[in-house]
Amino acid sequence: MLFNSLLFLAFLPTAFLLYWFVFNKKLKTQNCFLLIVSYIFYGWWDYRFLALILFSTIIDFFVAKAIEKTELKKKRKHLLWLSLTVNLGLLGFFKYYNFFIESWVEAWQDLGVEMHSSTLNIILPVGISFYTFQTLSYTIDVYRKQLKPTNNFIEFASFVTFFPQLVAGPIERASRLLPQFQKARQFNYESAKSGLHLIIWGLLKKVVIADSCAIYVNSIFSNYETASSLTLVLGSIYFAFQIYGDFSGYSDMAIGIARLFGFDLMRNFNYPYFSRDIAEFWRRWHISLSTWFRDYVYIPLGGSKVSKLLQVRNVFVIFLVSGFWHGANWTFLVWGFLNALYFLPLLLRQKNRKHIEMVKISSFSNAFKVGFQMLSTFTLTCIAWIFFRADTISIAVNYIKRIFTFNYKIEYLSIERYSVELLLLIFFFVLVEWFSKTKEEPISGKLEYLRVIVCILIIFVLGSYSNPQNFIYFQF
Amino acid sequence: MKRFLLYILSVSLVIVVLLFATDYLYTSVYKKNITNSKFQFVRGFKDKKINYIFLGSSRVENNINPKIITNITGKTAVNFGFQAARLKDIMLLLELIEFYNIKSEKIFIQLDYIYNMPEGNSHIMEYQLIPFVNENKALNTFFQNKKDDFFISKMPFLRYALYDNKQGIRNITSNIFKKSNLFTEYNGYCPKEGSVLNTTYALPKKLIEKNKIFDSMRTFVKNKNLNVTFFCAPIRKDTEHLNYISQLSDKISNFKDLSLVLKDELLFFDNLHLNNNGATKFSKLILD
Repeated sequence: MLFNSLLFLAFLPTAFLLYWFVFNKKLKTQNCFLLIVSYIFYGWWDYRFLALILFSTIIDFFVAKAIEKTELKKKRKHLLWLSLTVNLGLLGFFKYYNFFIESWVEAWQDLGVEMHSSTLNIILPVGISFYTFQTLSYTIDVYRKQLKPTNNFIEFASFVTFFPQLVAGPIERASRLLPQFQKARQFNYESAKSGLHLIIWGLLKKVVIADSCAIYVNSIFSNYETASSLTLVLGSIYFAFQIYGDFSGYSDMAIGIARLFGFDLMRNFNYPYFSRDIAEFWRRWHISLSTWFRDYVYIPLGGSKVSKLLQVRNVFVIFLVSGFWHGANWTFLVWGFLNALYFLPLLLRQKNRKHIEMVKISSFSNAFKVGFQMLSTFTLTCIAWIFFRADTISIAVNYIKRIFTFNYKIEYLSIERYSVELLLLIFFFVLVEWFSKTKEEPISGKLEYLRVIVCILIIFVLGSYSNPQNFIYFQF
Repeated sequence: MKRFLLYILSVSLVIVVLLFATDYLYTSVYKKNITNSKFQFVRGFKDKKINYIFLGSSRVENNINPKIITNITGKTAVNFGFQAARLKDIMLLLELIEFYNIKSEKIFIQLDYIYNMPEGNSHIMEYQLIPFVNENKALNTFFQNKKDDFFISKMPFLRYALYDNKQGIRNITSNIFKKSNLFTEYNGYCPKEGSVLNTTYALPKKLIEKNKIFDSMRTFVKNKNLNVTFFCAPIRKDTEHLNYISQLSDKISNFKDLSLVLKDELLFFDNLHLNNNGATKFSKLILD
C-alpha cells in the first residue's frame, strides 16, 4: 500500500477515525489496533512477508529478555550474536544472496574459470533493511544496558511494525519510540495539524517534484549515450531532486502520519542541499541511518578517538557499509566510496564539524562564499548520485565522460519534452525550501490555511499521475 | 478532535470548490481552442457544411490531402483521420458529426485490417477527448467502459490530473500560446516525408466473421440517412496477405478497393502509409 495511492487515501482516514473514536479507551486496545492495522498495511504487498517480520519480532523480543535476565558477559554476548546472526542473516539472504553468487561466478570467469551460477528467484521483502536495523537497535541497546526490555509482546510488535515508518523509515531507536507505545496517546490538535501539514508537504515533494523529475531522469539515463553534456548535467541534477523529493517526501509523510496517531518520530532530512560541505550534508541527509551507523558501527570502531589512520579506516568502513546497505550492486559501493573520499579532507583537517548550524546569509560577500560552498557540495553530491542511479559502474563512468564533451545543446527528449523544461519547477522548489529552512516544512506559520490550500492545489495541478513511480527506497 | 475534523472539512470544501473552478478553466481553454489537437480541429466544424469528409486511421490522416481535392473539384473537403483509430473511434466520430451538426454531401470511411479489430480504440484520440467527456451523450457513453470512467467524468479536475502528461498544465500552456498545428494548415492532413523501404507488414489472413461494431455503424448510417462510401487506401505491394482486402471487398457492398492503385514504392513512406508525394497522387486519384 503506497502513501500516494487511492487505497491509502481510504485506509488512513478509516484507521484514524477507528483509532481515536473506537479503540481509544485503553493503551492495550490502542496498541492492538495499531498492530493489526500495521500488519494489514504490510501484508497488502505480500502476505508471505508477514511471517518473516513476525519471526524477526519473536526472536528479538525473547533474545532481549534473555539478555536482561543474565549477568554473565559471555552468555549476553552469545545472545546478542544470535540476534545479529538471525537478523543480518535474513537480510543477507534476501538482499545479497544473488549478488554474492553472481559476483563470485563473475570473478572466476574473469580468471578464465567457467562456473555455473544458481541464483534463486528471491523476492526482496519490502522494508527489510529498515525494520532489521530498528530491531537490531533494540537488542544492542538492551545488551549495552541502555534500555530495559519490554515484557509486553504487543507493545514490542507494534514498535517493530508501526506502519508509518515500517517500509522506508525513519529508522527509529527503541529508546525513543518504544516508550511512546507504553503510554496511552491523547489527541493533540496542534500536533495533528502539523502532522497533516507534513503529509501534504511530503506528498507535494513526492508527486510534484520527485515523480516529475523521474520522467526526465528515466529518459536521460536510458539514452545517455546520445545525449548532450547539458542534458546529462540536467539528468544528474534532476535525479538529485528526484531522490530527495522521493525519500524526504516519504519521511515527511511518515512523520506526519505518526503524529496523527499521537507519535513523534525523528526528523530524517533537514534541507541537505543547503549544506556547505559533505560532512554537513551527511548530518542533514537520511539522519536516522547516519546516526544509526554512527552509534552502532562508527563509535564501537573507535570513532574519532583513535589514531588518524584508524579514523580514516572508520570513515571508509561506515560509508562503504552505508553504500552496501542501499543495495546489492557495486554502484552503491562506489557511491559510498566517493562520499568517503569527499569526507576525508574534512576529517584530516578536523573541519568535519565546522558547519553545525543551518546556513545563514549575513552579507553580500558571505552570500557569495556560502553560495559557492553549497554549489560545490551539491556538485559533488550529484557526481556521486550518478553512480547511485546508474545500473553499472561502466555506465556511470561513461555518463560522466560524456558530460565532458562540452556539448551544450538543449535537447528534445524521447518523452516529447525539452530537457530544460523542469528547471523552473526546481528553481521555485529550492526557493520555497530556502525561505522555510528554519522550519520543519513551509506550510505551518502565518497564513497557513492559505498555504495548505495552495499546496493541495499544486499537488492536483502539477502532480505527475500518468507515470506513477514507486518510492525509490522501497527497493532497499 | 472536533476542531481538527472541522479544519480538514473546511480545507476539503475549499479544495473541492477550487477543483471545480480549475476544471472549468481548463475545459474552457480546451473548448475555445480549435488548433491544438485534432479533435479540437474536428469540433471547430460545428454547424458547418462540408462536401467531403474522410474518416479513418493514420491511413487517412497521412494519405489524403483535402486541399488537393478542393483544388480539383471546387468542393470543400476535410480529413478527420486519427492516428491508430479503430472502428469504435470511427463510430464515435460519425455520432459526433451528427451531434455537432456537421453537414456533408458524402462521408468516406477507410477500412483495412482495422475491420478485424472490433475492440480497442485509439489512445491518441482518447486523450484528446478527455476535456470534452461531459459535452454530449456520445462521448459520455464512449468513456463509460473505461476503468477510470468515474474519476474522468464525475470528479472535478481529476481527468486532467490522471492524464497530466497529455492534458495537464503543459498542454494548457500550449493551448494558450501555440497558435497552429500541421493539420490545421492542410485541413486535417499530416504529410510524411521520405521512404522507408526495408519494412515489412502482414495483413490478417482471414476476415473475422462477426463484427458487431461494424454492423451498428451500418445501422447508424442507414438510420441517419448518411451517404457513406467505404474504401481501402493504397498498400505497398510487398505487404503480405493482400488477399485480405479482396475478402473485405466481397463482404462490404459499397466498398472501393484502392489498395493497389499506386505501384511505385517511392510513393510510400512504409507498407501502409504514403509519403507526401504519394498522398498528393492518391488525393488526385481518389475522386475518380
